[in-house]
Amino acid sequence: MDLSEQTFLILSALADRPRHGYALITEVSAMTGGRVTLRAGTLYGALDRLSGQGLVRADREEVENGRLRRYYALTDAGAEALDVQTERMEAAAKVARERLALRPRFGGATP
Amino acid sequence: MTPLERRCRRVVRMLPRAERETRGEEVLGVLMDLSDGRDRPPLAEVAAVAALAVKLRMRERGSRLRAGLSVLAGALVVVAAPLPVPHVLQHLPGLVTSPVMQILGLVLTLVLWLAGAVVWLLGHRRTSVALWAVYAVATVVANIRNGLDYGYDQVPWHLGHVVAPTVLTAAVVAVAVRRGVPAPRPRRVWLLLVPATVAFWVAGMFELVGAGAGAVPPVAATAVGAAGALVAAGWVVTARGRVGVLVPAGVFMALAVVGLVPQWLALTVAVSVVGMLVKRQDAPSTSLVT
Repeated sequence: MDLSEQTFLILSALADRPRHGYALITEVSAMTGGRVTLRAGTLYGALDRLSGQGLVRADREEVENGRLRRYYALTDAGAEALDVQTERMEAAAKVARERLALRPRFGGATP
Repeated sequence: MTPLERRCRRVVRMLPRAERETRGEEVLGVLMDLSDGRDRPPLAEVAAVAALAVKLRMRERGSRLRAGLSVLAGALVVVAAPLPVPHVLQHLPGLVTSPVMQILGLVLTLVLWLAGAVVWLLGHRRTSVALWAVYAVATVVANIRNGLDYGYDQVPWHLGHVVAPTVLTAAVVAVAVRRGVPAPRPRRVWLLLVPATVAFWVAGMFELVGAGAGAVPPVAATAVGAAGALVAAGWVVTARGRVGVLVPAGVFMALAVVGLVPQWLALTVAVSVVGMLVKRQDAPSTSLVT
């Protein structure tokens, strides 16, 4: 299963521990240095889809400062999918680096 | 309630009711967090929630249409399609004078309908389409012969009361199969309707042999069907507290009793309404949050 960047980032943000919606948004932003900002509507649409695919599940609920926090956790299937995608991306990145290295501007020999 | 919370709640109200009930407070909290001290949620967040609301509503509508098609096909298959059986048999060539052959013909036609119904309810969709096509063609052919034998002034009645239910059933089953819509659930309930209908036609068979008049008396069939449908609807509706759904079924049944709507159509509507309610009760929750 190929994961979109958004899905990959959400699963990555849940890889170490369960997180609630707002924490997921801030974590994804931190992981990408602010390049990707998830909107609440986008996040919950993605969580619905990932839940349907069995990659994510609702973990627990807490109330903080009068606000309901629902935590989401990565399932074993989600961890597996993330692992597979990570290996795929690493392999693709390795090939790209090797090819870029052949270009003069990136350290390759002058033709 | 702060102005921020009031505005965020307004945004959350865009979501469909089911989503609001399971997740409204959670989305509200995130929107307030993302407002970052301002007194209104960021426009981009409002737009994203609106986009999610549109997406969820479209999905909801799509699944409702699929469920409706599934139940409509089920109602036609088990209730409306077998209604013309005795009429078809009455006009099979060479059989009219022989009660034994009439009974044999009835059994064969009944078996064809039974096979089409059970095969479809069990999920063998392509086979059921073929069976329904044969059943519909047999009905049309028998009615063309009827027109030739008894005069063309009878044709409109036979088209409306005999041909239409079978052809419509075959068409709806074909559309459902083509769109990947499964037979309605709970399967057990729908399968139980099949022997109930057979019981009607066993009674109808004796009527056919004795008086040569055809079916189970339509008024009696309608009354029994209507009573059963309304009792079942009442039971389900009372449990759900949704009285409004009885109105369209009731109107149709009333129109059928005074003869303004064919009885098979009224029965189909009544069974469809009950089927939708039963299906709604039976449907498992698909929400992430249970």
